[in-house]
Amino acid sequence: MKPFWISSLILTATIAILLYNVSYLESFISPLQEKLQQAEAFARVEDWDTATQMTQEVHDALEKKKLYLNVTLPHNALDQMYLQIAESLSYLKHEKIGEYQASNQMLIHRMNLLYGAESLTLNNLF
Amino acid sequence: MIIALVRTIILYLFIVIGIRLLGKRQIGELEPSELVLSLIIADIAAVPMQDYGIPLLAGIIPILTLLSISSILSVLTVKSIRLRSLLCGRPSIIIKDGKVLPKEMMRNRFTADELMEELRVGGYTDISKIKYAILETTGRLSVLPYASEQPITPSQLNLECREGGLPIILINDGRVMQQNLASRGKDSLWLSEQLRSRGIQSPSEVFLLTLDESGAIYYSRQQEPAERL
Repeated sequence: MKPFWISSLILTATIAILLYNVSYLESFISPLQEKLQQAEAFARVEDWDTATQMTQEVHDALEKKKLYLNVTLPHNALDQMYLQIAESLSYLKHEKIGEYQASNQMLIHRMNLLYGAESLTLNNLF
Repeated sequence: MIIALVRTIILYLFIVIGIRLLGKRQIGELEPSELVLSLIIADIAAVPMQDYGIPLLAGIIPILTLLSISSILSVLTVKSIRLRSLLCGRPSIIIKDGKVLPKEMMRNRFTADELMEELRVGGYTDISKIKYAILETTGRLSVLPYASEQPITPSQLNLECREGGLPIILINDGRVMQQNLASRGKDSLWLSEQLRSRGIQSPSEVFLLTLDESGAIYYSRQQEPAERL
């Protein structure tokens, strides 16, 4: 019965860790999305410096968790996200509001997809 | 490319350890669920080996899950006959009292050609001399001939035979297996005497030396290098 209990423990622990990971990922990504929304609000009133600083903070927060994100998420999706951030920062630098808003919304949407893909939903199962 | 190499090593070791923990079965004796498991694991492992964009955990977690479920099911099948017959099926009698049972063959989708092939491989040419032929859950055919068709044993002739017992390896490719030596109650001194009596100076000259329970020794020297022509 020892293999049974060990296997059951491994399976239960794996399920618990993965469910926690989904919850943690959402709690990590959601504040970043809010920050990006706030940055967009600042950019609309042409406060480019604050918008740039907030977007940079989002980038730095992702960099800090780079190892965790690389271990748990598809690398292509992460690369796309980093590229999108770089694009948003570039538009902010050149003060192009239309392009920045489009890029920023795309970035927020990508982040949605990132943790959405990890969620235990019927959509993802099938 | 170095990433591919390291990932391959990690996944290979992970799978070997996992399969090892499943138990000692050869590929030909796997139950259907175990065969499916092996095939799926091989497929899953290949994906992160080749695609660096996929995290290594995306391969490790499914494999770990499959091995855990398989281990749980294997314990439960030992405890529950019903579950065992559900997952592994039941053996089917294909030949009984020298007669083929067509219904059982149909039920198992076992053709006459396959039956004849299995019988030939087992050395049986006359079906009428077979008491039972059973199609096992692993797909192998077990053939039990009539008692009168089975080889005679010494006990049937009231003959006494020497029990050889289980041979264990004392020297393996020149290396002395100390634990095995001790398990037979022998020591290095005894081994040296045995080697000297056979014209061997050192264990390194021996490829294989075994000792069975009756004390009989078999040995084979290291092969001489092949001569160049």
